[in-house]
Amino acid sequence: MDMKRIIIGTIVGAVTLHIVGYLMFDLATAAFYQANNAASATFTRPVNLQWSIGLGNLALGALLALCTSARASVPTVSGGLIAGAVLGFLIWFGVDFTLYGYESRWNLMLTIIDPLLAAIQFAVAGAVVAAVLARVPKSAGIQPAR
Amino acid sequence: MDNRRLAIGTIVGGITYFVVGYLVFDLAVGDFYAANRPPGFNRESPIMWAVVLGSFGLGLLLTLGILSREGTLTIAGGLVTGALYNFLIWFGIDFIMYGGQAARNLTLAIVDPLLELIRGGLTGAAIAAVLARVPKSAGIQPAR
Repeated sequence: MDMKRIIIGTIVGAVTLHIVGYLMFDLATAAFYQANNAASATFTRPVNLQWSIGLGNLALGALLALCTSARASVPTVSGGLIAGAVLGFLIWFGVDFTLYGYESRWNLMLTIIDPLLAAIQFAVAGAVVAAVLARVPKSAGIQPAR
Repeated sequence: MDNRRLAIGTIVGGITYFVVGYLVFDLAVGDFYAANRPPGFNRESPIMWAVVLGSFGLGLLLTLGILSREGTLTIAGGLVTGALYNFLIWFGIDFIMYGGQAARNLTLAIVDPLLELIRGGLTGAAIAAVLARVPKSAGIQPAR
């Protein structure tokens, strides 16, 4: 496990997830989410806590970096894009349907659409992480004696 | 990627994830969750098909994570991978949701990922224990 690559991938992934997430979910589709969220009037914060969202993105960025750096071959932008899309879709598909089962917050349409939008967000982040990690040399480890 | 092993891992992972989730979150700490959420937020009775579907989605993700590890599959390795993946997933989700909604308090956002360590660890261990007994597909066989 190359800690330097994982730390770099985590930071790059978290920043990209945060920026793309803000553009997609706070600006582009905010009205759609509000319209399909029964709890929006009661429970949505007037101003988002950016530190908390940033901390959450740091954890998901770490997962993205772990998945990208676990692959044996050199990361490619297209490989990172696909891995990110699969990861984002599966995370949010699993979480959204689990929460839909327990909470009366979102309707079924939002529960189906959200993982598809998350796949786009994570695909962009996965591509950026792979593009950066492809330029970071792997740690040399133990060198043979000369 | 070996599709047979992926399918078996997903089924084992989905079932384990669902069962452990029911035991931990519905039975053991259900009252704690109810106390830390506003009234009227939870459904009176859960929609089980949605919870099962969500469990299989996360079971597939944990199986992909375990199969992508290099080396021999072990129960300890599956436990660590499952716990780490599930902790990171729910830590991320809980804090993102805490940042946007007042429906869960900070205590719940901190405790929930720690409890998810248990669910992910047990699920990962079960996936690894089963997949260690499933032979890898032979692929293209040489002509005789």
